[in-house]
This record gives sequence, C-alpha cells and structure tokens, in this order.
Amino acid sequence: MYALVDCNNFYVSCERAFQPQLEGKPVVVLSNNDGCLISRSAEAKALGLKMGEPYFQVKPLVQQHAVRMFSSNYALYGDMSGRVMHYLSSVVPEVEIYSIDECFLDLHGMEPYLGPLAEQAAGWRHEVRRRTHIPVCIGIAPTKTLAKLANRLAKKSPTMEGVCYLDTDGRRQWALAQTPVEDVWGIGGQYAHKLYAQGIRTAAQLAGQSEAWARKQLGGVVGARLVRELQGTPCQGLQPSEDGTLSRKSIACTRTFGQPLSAFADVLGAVAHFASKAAEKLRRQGSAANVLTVFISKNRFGTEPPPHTRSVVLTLPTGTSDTIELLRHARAALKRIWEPGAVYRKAGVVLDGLETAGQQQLLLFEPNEQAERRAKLMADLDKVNQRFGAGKVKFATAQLPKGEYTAPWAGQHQWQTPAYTTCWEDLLCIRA
Amino acid sequence: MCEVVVLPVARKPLWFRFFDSMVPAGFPSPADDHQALRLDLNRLLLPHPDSSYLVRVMGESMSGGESGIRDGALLAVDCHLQAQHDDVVIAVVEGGFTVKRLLRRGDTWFLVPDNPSYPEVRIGGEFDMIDVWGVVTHVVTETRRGRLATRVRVS
Repeated sequence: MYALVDCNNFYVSCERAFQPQLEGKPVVVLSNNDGCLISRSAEAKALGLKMGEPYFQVKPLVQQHAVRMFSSNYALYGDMSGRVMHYLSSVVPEVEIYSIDECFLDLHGMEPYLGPLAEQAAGWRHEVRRRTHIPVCIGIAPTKTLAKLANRLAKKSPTMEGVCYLDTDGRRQWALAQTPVEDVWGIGGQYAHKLYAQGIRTAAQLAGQSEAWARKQLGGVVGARLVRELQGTPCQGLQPSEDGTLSRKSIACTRTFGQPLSAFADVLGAVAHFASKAAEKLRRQGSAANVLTVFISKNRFGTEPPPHTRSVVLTLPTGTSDTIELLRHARAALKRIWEPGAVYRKAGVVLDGLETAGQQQLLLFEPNEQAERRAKLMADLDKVNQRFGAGKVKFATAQLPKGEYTAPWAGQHQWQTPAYTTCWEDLLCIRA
Repeated sequence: MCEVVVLPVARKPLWFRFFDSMVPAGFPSPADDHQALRLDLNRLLLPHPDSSYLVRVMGESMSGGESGIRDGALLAVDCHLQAQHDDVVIAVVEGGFTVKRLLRRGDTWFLVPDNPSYPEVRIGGEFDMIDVWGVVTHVVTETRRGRLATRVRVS
C-alpha cells in the first residue's frame, strides 16, 4: 500500500497558519512578481477564481469580494513544507517527497505494526494539523497512481474527513468510476483529448483497457504501466529521499523582471543573479551541472512577431558547481542571444545534466589544485551568506548599479508576509 | 693550528608544539571516559523541530506574574503539546493571537492574564482545542540589552 499525503491549498494554508483571521475568508497567493494566482482557498475557488489566472484579469472580482491577496513567501512555504515532511518521515520508514506540498509514504507490510491504516492516516492528518496548522488529505491505495486518485477524492468529498482508503476491489471500482480520465496522474491534456475521442471518459474505462491497447495508444511502456497501476498492480516503487529533501534532476531559476529592461548590463545582472542562485542550490544538494541553458524573453503580449524567447544551451567542459565558472559561461551565452535595442521582460538560467559533485573528469589543462581552492572558496562563500544573510556577498556582475537600492530586475511582491519561521526580525508577533 | 668544526645550521625554524597545560605522564586523563557532547540549547527550547516555533510578545498583559513574560520577550512554543489547565498558551480569540494562561474553573475555561490589570476572557461552552495554537514552554528575556534586543524588534 502507498499513501499520498497532499497539503490542501498549501500556500494559502501557510499564510493562514500565522493569520487565523483568514480562516473562512477567500484568500489567494500570487506567483513571483505578483503575476498569476497560484494558490486559492476553497472560498476563493467558489468565487470562480481559476488557477494560473493573471492578477490583472481578476482584479475586479478580487476587489468586489474583498479577496485577501498575498505575494508568494517561499521562505515560509519551504520551512512549513519541511516541517510537514519531517513529521511524516518520522511515522513511516520511507517517504518520497514528490513536491513542496505532497509526498508518498510506503506502507508495505506496515499494517500489522501500525494497526488499521485508515485510522492511522486520520491520526497523521490530525498531528500534521496540530504541529503545523496545515490541513492535509491522505489517499491510500495499492499503487501510487491509485493513491493519487484516492487523494483527489478525499479532497473532493468532505464526508471522508480527509482520508480515502481504497482497500477493497469494490471501493477501487467506485473510485475509478468517480474520476474523469483527465484527472488521472500522468494523463495530460493531449492524451485526455485523444481518449475522449475514443469514448473513454472515466478512469474506470481506462482501467478496463488491455495492456496491448495502452502500449499502442498511450506512448508505449509508460502507458502500459499507467493502466496496470490503475488496475491495482504496482509498477512504480517509491523513490525515497535520502536526506529528507527534494533532490532535483535539473535546477532552474527564472523570473519575470519588475520592469522591462533593455540595457545589457541590467539583463546581465539578472542572469548573473539567477545563475548565482542556481549554483547555490546546486552546491546545497551536492551536485555539479554539465549543461547550462540561458534564455531571455520579450513581451509575449506585445506587437512584435515571435519568437519572443531566445535561448542557448551550452555543454560545459566539465561538471561544475562553481559560480565563477557558471557566470563566465552564462555571460558568453547571453552575448550570443542578445539583440541590441530589444526590450526584455524575463530571463532564466537552467542547470541540467546533474551529477554528484566531486566525481568529475579532471581537465587536462587545469591544475587540480586550483579546482580545490575554488571549491573551498565556494564553500566559504556559502557559509558567509548563510551566516550573514542571503546575497550578502555577491559577484560584481550581479551587484546593484551604484546608488540604487533595488535591482532593476527585482520582481514586485507588494503583499508579502514576513518570513515568520526563518528570520529573527520577522518572528510572529503576539499581543499579550 | 686550530681545528675548524663546521656546525650544521638549521635554516628552517623548527616548530615545537607548546601545551599550556599539565601533561599527565603515564596516567591517562580520567575525564576521557566521561567526554560528553556540549550542551545544546535547541534541545531544551525547541525539542520538536516540526512543531516548535519562536514568537515574540508585544504588550504587558502577562508581565509581573508567575510566567515572567515581559513586553518583547521571546517565547518557545510547542504546537504538538495538548494544552492543560494552568498552561500558558497562544490562543486564537476572535481571529487574532493572544498569549494568556489557560485556567479551568469548574466546567468553564478561561484565558487569564498574569497581569491583574488586564481583563480575562471566558471561553464559550464548546471550547475547541484547535483554538489553542500552541503551548508556551519557555520564555527568553534579556537582563542586559544584547543580541535579542537588536535582532528582535521590541516596540
């Protein structure tokens, strides 16, 4: 048996944990740069606010119903996510952290030790709520795909009190019949379209197909596995997190600028800032990157014809997590796609081809001692920034222009709450 | 006739370690077997990393009393503890947080300030423990203005 634990409206729930007056009110959280809705409370959903809608489009509705709005506060969400995952990893032997707000638990053979799983799950749910004030729903089923499906049902029907356990064949059939095929984990918009055209509308109908059909219609072995999982045969195991964190296969740092930029130095500053951030993340998880992608985008909604985005992919001479190296390559990459006179709205740096640091092929022309010294320098840089605050020591290219207090690329976050749990100055303040 | 003896001169300085302590010769330190880890305040103040929070206090309603919670104090709060009679708790009253002592008198629960010049709050019959956000386990105050005062805003 697998369980999927998923936090309800996670970002909104994090805000509510420290602002109880938001309980029962419509609340939304906006994406970076206050662009789109990325988390909505049940009350906000009921008003018809959709996921991903741009803020400027829903502004009238938001104002009319006095919806409370927040800029995303990832320092807070990250810490709260860590608390939820930490607790869950203390109750079962193996946890796969699937995203910031959901994780799979491996419950194989646990029932004799834990007792009835549905009761256990109700207990975990209660404890997570008490410890973090975050409501979660739990789906339990023989496969990960069915656990996902069960979780969705637990969320949909309040009578289940947040736990849906598909222990019998009958319940499994019922759950499959309840689920539209586009809501099955792994079925995207394209496949859903294709399936509808063939008259397959529910997960139950999909589960009734043969393996051969799935191979042919749903992209080979992946589709075959999906159908088998729906039928109750586990095809995907848990990918446990070694250190309780989400280890990434690629690291991206991309942002929309707070204002349109046309000066090379400004865009380079942004790219350098993103590359430094990505390199820091890379070092934190002990990886080195082999592939660097840099992209810059113009206004998608403007009058200019596409392409609006230009990107360049560089294969690095050796896997690295060295900010100096990455900045050097990022600058060269940016120069290759830069158009003078163009106005840019967005840029990003993506690191791929990650491997464990310290296993790189040595370079023929670079003495090894230098690499060691640089690794030490990076470790010290990270230590300084950890101790004195993120970004205290930066590379000159990512530095602010003289006399300016905010970076020209910095996004807007006018409705951001304090980082209650990770910053001394921002601690929750309580009236006595 | 005089004999010349060429003495080898050490060109590099030789460094010797200097131990500014007694070296017990022939007798090992009896403390070795009792070597312990340094005391870790986190284990005392924040025993449960997933449910312990630090908050700061603004206001005088708890000052002067048994809890010793002064304006500007730092509180360690554990949210996984079950609140009991006589606990100092962070409670949610009318949508806002407050810190008070939770007392039971007969069948009724009250949120009582340590400072008698502030009013107490009677909690309705259907007292829901969810209204208790967390239980205050420790109070940190500075007796000399130091890091806490500079890092944590005290109004």
